[in-house]
Amino acid sequence: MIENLLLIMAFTLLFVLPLMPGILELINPTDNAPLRIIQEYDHNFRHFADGFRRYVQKHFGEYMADHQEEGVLKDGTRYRFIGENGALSVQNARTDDLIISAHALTLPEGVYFGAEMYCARDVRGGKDAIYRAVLADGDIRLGDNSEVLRWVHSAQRLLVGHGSVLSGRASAERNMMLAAGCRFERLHAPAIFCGAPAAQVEPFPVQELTVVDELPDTLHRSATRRLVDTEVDLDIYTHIVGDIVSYGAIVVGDGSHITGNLKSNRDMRIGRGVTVEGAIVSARDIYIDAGSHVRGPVIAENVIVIASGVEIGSELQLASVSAPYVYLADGVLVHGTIWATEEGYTTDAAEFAEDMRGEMQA
Amino acid sequence: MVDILHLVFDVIIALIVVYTIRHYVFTLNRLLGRQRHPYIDIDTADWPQVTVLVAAHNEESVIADSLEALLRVNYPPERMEILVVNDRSTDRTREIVDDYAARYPGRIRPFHREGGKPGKPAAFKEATEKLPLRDILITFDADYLPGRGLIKQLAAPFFDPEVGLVMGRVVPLNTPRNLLTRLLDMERAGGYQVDQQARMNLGLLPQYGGTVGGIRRAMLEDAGGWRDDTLAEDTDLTYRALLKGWKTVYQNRSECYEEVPETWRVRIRQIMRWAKGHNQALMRYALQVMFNRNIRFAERFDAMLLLGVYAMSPVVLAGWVIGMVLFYMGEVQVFGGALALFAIIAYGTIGNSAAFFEIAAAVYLDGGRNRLRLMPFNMFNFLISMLSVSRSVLVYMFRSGTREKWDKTERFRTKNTGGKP
Repeated sequence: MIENLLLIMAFTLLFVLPLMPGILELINPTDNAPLRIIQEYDHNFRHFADGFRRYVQKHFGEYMADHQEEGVLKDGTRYRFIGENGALSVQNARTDDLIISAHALTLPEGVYFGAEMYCARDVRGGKDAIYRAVLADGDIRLGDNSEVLRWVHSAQRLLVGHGSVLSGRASAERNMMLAAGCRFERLHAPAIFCGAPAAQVEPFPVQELTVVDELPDTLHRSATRRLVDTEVDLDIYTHIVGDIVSYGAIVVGDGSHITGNLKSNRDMRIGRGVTVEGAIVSARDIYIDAGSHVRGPVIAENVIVIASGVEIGSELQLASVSAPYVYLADGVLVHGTIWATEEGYTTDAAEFAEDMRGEMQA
Repeated sequence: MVDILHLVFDVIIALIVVYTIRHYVFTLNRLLGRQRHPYIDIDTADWPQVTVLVAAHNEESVIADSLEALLRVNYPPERMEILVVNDRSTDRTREIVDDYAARYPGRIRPFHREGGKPGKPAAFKEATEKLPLRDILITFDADYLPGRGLIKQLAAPFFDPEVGLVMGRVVPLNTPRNLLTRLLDMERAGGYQVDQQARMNLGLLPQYGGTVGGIRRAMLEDAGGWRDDTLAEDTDLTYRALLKGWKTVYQNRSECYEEVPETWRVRIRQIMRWAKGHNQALMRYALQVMFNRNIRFAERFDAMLLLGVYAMSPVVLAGWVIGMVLFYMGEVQVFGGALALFAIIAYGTIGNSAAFFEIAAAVYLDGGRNRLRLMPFNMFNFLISMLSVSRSVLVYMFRSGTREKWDKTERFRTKNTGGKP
């Protein structure tokens, strides 16, 4: 009898024991909240800039000292107003004060600015400076080899010197110019110019186009698109209407015109002087040769390489360029957003052209 | 006879092992592999024209919130319309929807059904036949609360001309309610955060779920339009799209709150409906998928496994019965390989319930910790699911051909919250 009782108790214990932590969690919940979704999150490129602007408004209102003034806010943040002559003295090449200026700011070289900065006018930064974040209602000029750690936003123009690093977001309400050798993550402006203007890119000669309707190895054709089993290789000066999806690569010959969207499951190569009135999407890499125009978006799951004189989007229709790695030559113009989730880089056109030729001929 | 039993038992074990390997591959991929979110960074574009379809049947307690949330999204208003498909409601749903349509002309359009075949598929079919719709259809149930950026996130993949369907992630809002809601929260997490995302990562077949999703109208027309003779229009459409060469993509970061059942009665009815619809798709499309050489082998293989998930419950039950029979006949050893293997992994292969390790990985990725203490209770959840699904399979087998009754999931939210969770 006792043995049976012990057996039952042992069995019950074995059965109940694994449930004990769960029972305790049910009685006294410690982790039962729904997964947090930020309902208001909307990918707004000005999210941090607007947040900082509200912070400045909250703490200073309309007050903008036009003389040197220092203090500590209620939340413990040290701040510094910079006076009319814009002079900023920094000890040991570093300041962690919030910098605020009602006047144009000229910043010294080689300084580490560990807190956010707001300027109601233009900002001119020196070489080799590091900024946590900068917001200006005027232009922002960052000297060569500058670094932005979180974000930078100009209500006018953002000009970035050679060899600079833009981590996080960089945006401007008018336009943005990046010199060669810059690294970036996320850029946004109505017009983003990379490097020098592409004066050296000759316009591609225009010729009569050959209209193509059928493609070899078409698996399925619907009203709006062709699904092709193998590589799609379009001759030069081809005009094709409709979307193309290829299970292989897509190569678009020089001077062609595509009225539709393109999707390749391998690499995509867009030739010189091509116009694509739609999106181009690749499950691998995209190479766009000189002088082409793509309405966008441009999406790749690995690398996007864009040569000189290429324009993405337009002034009336902004677009996105998105890939883990984005490499842009001098003279590239993008209207909208460029998002390189791993690395974005602007290169010198001469250095670029040679690499690009190799890829296009591969 | 014994040989036949052995053969069947071995086949069942083999199937369970395949599913287990599948779930392990998904979990490891999700934890260690390359994650694919190719469209999530498209935030600036010439956005397509969108019709947001909201299905509503007696939704007076929730529909206003859903419409408020949709009106607040950041999608260009001139490129988006909200079409509320009111399917034979007998409460104040019609009055509420008409009020919103009057207040927001051009943005909200009502479509009221007074009769016809009941159910969401039939309602959408009738609405799309009678009204002009835009290029992209985004679908929501009436109790969903989309965030500001969600419509853009769901529309972005359609710039890819290969994409026919998009699915976002549904997140339970009423998680703290009781044990059932907490278990379903974990189950949903496993299904979306791990299972769906892994299928996206591996280029397999994520499933369109019928809500928090998008449909390309050109694909819908190419695939034959809405079907009203199915209980799982989402699964049905996923496979019709696949057979026509259209991709389904999953966006893990496109999240939206939903309500999960708060009572076991409602939960059982829901899962029985899902099982019936899913098995209907299995019968319709298994052979077509199996022999379609235009679909890559790996995708085809996994698509077959996905079709079979709700058929596995009665298979596992049969395996238990056969295992016990063979054991009492002295044909298998308790600690011998086959039976032990079967016992250990049988729970992890059942229908909609994600495997234990998928759930654990998902909770970990979501940042949860202590909720995993509830994991042992999932044994009961899985058991109830398995019995419910098995019952629905038997009902389907013996009553197929009779008219299916649409069984709407009961709502639990009782008051409007102004469109905010």
